[in-house]
Amino acid sequence: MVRFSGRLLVGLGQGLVGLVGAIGTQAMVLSSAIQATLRGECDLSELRSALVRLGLGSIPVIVSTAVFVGGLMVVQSAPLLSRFGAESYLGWGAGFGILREVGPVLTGLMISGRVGSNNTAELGTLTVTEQVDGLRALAIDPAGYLVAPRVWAIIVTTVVGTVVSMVVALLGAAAAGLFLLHVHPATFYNGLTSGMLSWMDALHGLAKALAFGIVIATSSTAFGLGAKGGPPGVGRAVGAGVVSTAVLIFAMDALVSITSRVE
Amino acid sequence: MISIDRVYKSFESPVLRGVTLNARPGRLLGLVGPPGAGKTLLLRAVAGLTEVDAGRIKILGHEMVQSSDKTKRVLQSSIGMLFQNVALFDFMTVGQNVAFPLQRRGEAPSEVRERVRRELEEVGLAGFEERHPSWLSGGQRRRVGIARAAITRPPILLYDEPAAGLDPVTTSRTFALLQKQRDRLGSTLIVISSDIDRLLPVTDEVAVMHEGRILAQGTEAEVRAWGDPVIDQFLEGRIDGPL
Repeated sequence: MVRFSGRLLVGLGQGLVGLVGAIGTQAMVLSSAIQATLRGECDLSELRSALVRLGLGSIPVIVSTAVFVGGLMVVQSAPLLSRFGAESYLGWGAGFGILREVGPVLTGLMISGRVGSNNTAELGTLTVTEQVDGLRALAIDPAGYLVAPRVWAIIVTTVVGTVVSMVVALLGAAAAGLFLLHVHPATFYNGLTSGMLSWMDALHGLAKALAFGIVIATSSTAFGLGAKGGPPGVGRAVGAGVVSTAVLIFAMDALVSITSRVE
Repeated sequence: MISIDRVYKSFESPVLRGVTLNARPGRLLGLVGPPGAGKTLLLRAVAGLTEVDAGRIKILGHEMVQSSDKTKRVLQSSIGMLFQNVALFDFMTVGQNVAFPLQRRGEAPSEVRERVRRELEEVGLAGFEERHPSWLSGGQRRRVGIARAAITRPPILLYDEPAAGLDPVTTSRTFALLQKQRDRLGSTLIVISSDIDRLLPVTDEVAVMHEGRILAQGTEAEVRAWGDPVIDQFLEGRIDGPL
């Protein structure tokens, strides 16, 4: 029992040290991106390329997921709303869930899976094949050429993607309301804008999106640049990056929700 | 030109143990030694890619060790380097790889195109601009790496195993190319190679490294006459001996 408790404590301690180390590394990634940008060294053509590759490329997957999620929220709540004759609250209910929680979290997880893992794999490959050192040997600072463009592109992608996801999920919910509950879109819209929801709810969701964007960008970049041990090392970095980012997304979700909860 | 003075570097165990080495201007220095001697790490330290624990590395009279990032980048811009695994940017074509250092310096596109064409011609890869690095053989990739390292005509060129995995004829051609670069550009070259039989005849000087130290530095004849059993065994390729 004592030995088990000791192992548990050691495990918890190592986990805590690992977590603090990971957060410290991510803070360094963010700091190097900010510094490179302030020095005017953020490579604009790389930023454009990253926005197109990571941002525009993510829109189809965000849209298709959001349509189904908006619809599913209505499918799940339809029996309850019908039982109490509260169909007019459908707009408010869907809006509250989508704007404050489902939109940002789902988009964050989708972007982490698609863009974050891609970023870790690309940077990991560049690292283990000495291409990052190749840049440094050419007197090119990787912070300006690789880190800053990717960090800003991922943050912008997450925030813009969340806005797109919110709008599409609401449209999906309205469509599902019409076909499943025969709630007219005007009724759905009135519920959404009845005053029970405010711009603060949308801002709350966007604050989460910003936090998730920073987490995805810094975590995926840190794991990529820290990859070691050839192609298997890249695989390990991608796996660890995805898991770590997902955990941090939920931690940030809780943090933002608690610090700005509805009174 | 390159002055290395009592450089130390340890990871889990010491790798560089007080390396002292000088590479003179416009000379080709061959850096040889058994595997694990610390040659690649030393070259990385000279290029400012690995921070050493102690010692001094002067590049063109300026200190590289513990210099600011800005100073380091200025010094790095006077160095061209070929990595052991070449490290071509696989998201660029051959032409883009070779052009990249010039483009970053803001050279005019027409000038860049012309110099890339000439540099690729120089390494025997004329017309390869649009090919992708993954389509090339190992030898061709190395020659692209050599062209990229030399495209800015840097005063210092560092080559880590430029002939690794190449057949004897291509190896001899590669070393002849390095000699030509030295003569054409007037650069100082440090070349690591395991193929000492083909490297030594083209060098102006040789340094033999073993267990993180330079055992000897001089002309090929001087090093061969050094009288160190490790050097003798290594240069002669004998099985019996201290190695």
